Amino acid sequence: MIRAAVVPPLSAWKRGTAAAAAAGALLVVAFALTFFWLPNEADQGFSQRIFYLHVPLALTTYACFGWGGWKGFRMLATGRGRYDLESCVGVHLGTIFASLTLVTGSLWARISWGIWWSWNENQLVLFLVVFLYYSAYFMLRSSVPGGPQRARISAVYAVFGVVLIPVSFLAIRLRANFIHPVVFASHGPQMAPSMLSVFCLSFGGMLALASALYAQELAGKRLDRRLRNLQGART
Amino acid sequence: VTSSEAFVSAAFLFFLAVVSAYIVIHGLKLARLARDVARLEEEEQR
Repeated sequence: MIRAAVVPPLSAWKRGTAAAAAAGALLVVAFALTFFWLPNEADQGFSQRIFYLHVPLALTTYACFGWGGWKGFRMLATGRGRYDLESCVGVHLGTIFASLTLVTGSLWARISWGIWWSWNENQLVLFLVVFLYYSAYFMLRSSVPGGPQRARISAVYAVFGVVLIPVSFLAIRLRANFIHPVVFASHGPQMAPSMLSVFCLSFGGMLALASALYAQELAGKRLDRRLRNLQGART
Repeated sequence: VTSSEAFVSAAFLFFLAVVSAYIVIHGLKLARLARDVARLEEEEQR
């Protein structure tokens, strides 16, 4: 038995306003510092600036998928319908951030390696696998009629996908012959303090952005559910 | 503008375009849903 959501539809939207303001401020500052303050990196030059966009996007992708999995787990544990919606929104945002990660990574690869994609790179291929796995989540959802069964199947799928996240993250650390750069090694971040501080700003902004978009989409989904209930009551 | 600068700028602009499109699309959807819900609730109260 799936219990209905009891959270007011617009409360998530209001909570998201603070996150949106934080995201706007942090990202504007981080991007301005990226282009106008940070020096060119010694090895890669100007193209290294994609790092301050690409890596926060990738880490936020993992956070969104992890959040979707956690909410899926909560759905299975409690049977509350609200967790099904929250899990779905988390996974949806994760796929958007994953798409952005793949595009920005591909642009960086074209500058640095001279190619758009390399099938020999574990990091790239495993990230693509994670992206495709969670993209299939929506095919699964749309193939099952709405209700408790869909909520449970979706939750199980979202929870299982979380296993892929550490595999993807550790891929470049488990293999010796890679060309994908490793900045966050076991003995700390391999960059200057100024670069690390801009990276942290950008990552914080990206997480705040994900929170704001999450609140916005969730408010829409809850309103949509309420509208369906009202329409159902009239017929 | 070097090709490196063009690619980096393209990456940041692509990110901004996708996020802006997402916000606008979901904002419009949210406004429409809120309007429809308010209308139905008002009709129900009468």
